Amino acid sequence: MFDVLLTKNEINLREEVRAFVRDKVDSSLIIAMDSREKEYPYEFIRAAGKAKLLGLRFPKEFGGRNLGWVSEMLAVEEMGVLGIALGCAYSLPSIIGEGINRFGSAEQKKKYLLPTLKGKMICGEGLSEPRGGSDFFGTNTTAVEQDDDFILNGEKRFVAGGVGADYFLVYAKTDFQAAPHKSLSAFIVERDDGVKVEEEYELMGCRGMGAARIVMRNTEVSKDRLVGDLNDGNAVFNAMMVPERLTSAAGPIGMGQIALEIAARYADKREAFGRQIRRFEAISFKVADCMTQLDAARGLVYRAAKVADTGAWCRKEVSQAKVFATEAGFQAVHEAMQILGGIGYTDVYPIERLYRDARLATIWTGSNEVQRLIIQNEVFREILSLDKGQRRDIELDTPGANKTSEKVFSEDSRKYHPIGS
Amino acid sequence: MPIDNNFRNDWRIVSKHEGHSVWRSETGKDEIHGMAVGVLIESCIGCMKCISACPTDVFVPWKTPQGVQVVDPLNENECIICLLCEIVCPVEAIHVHRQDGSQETLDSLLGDV
Repeated sequence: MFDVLLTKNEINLREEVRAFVRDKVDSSLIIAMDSREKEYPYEFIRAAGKAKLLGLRFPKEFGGRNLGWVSEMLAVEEMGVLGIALGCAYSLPSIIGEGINRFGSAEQKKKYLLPTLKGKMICGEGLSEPRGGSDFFGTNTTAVEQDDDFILNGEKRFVAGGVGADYFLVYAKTDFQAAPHKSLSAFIVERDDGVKVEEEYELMGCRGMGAARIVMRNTEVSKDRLVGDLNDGNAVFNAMMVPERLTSAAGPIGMGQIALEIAARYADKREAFGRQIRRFEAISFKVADCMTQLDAARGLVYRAAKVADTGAWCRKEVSQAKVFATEAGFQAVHEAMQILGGIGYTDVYPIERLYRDARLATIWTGSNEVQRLIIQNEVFREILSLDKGQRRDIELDTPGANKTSEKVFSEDSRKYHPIGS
Repeated sequence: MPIDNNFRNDWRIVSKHEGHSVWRSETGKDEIHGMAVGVLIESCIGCMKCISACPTDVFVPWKTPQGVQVVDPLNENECIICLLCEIVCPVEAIHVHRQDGSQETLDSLLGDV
């Protein structure tokens, strides 16, 4: 349906990923993960690595395909059909990889990025802490230089791959005097450095991804594991937030799409009051509204991907895509369940699993509340820096435009005070 | 009686116990142990629910010089501010120091720096 906006190569890639999703991922894996019988989907990562589907944007020499963001969004949407957990497993090499590919040393790319994209090494990200995730720059984890090492102390929460990952990209405070945006650094911390798992979370959805609280106590990390410049974790963070939030946006479109397809087929067959339930507007309009929202979400996601492809600052576009697509995806799953009625609430259909999965999307990778905070900030900055002279001044296109005394923006609270101002 | 949440500002440190501060109120009657995690000793009933709840073993049983069984925030530096102890304490005798809010960290997130 979006083919008109895609190149032939992009369409071909989507078909390739669609075939992988259809043929290479066994239902038993998804069910085992959701049933808490599986710690981490190693075999899925190995298969995706073997098919050269991980980290599509990265250079070929490190296992990528040198493709653009639009291609990656197409792939993530298709992977989204598998649910949020496998979508997450698929996206992590893109997220961590962004940090290493853009800021890592040649040695780090060879040692970590290459095996990660081959599906032979599992990566995780240590960002959220018990004190919070949204207030990233308030990070409590510390890294102190000592001879050839940094000594890390702290803990990270809700780490996908907390159980399962071989290494983590961890943010820690390294300058204790500087302003927050100049005080953090990014590190590669291997599990074998002494990372402990102190809590494995029981999740509503997104199961089987080893979500855990990991703890570092006097963990020694050699200096060559610093990613990017010392005290410039800000740059790494901002770069990684693009794939983090764009993949978070594209996956739920896949979940919403597939749930809606199930619901549409069901509504076409299921009968009530002597007719197919799709003949009732109460049902068919849900399909209309949800698909319109999903397509609008695609519009925002691919627009953001296009901007990201230019290398331009795209924080507003990325956050808009994340908010809209995660809410559209969840709404589509929600309405799909409503269309199926009681049977949609059972495990006879996978919609209840997708519902539990999709609920997470509005919370993680920067809650939608934080995304809105970012969007408004960027929008105000954009509008207030516009050169008004370039545009028609429509404030004059009204009879009262010259009533300047009525254009009041503030007033001295002491203006009418009895003892004067 | 619940713990005074402002004790870190309104009370004074009178001594140390096992490495943490001991605070007294203006009236000098009540005693709070701890800085990051404060326990109002007079209110604690020694039910040990906080010990069961705490994921990082902040609390240990302690008998006051008067022989009363209470808890002591011996390992308060291990606190991860999950606030479970505050939630389970039936007499509201515990207060955990929250992270100070910072406009600076918000500005950093929004790129207003």
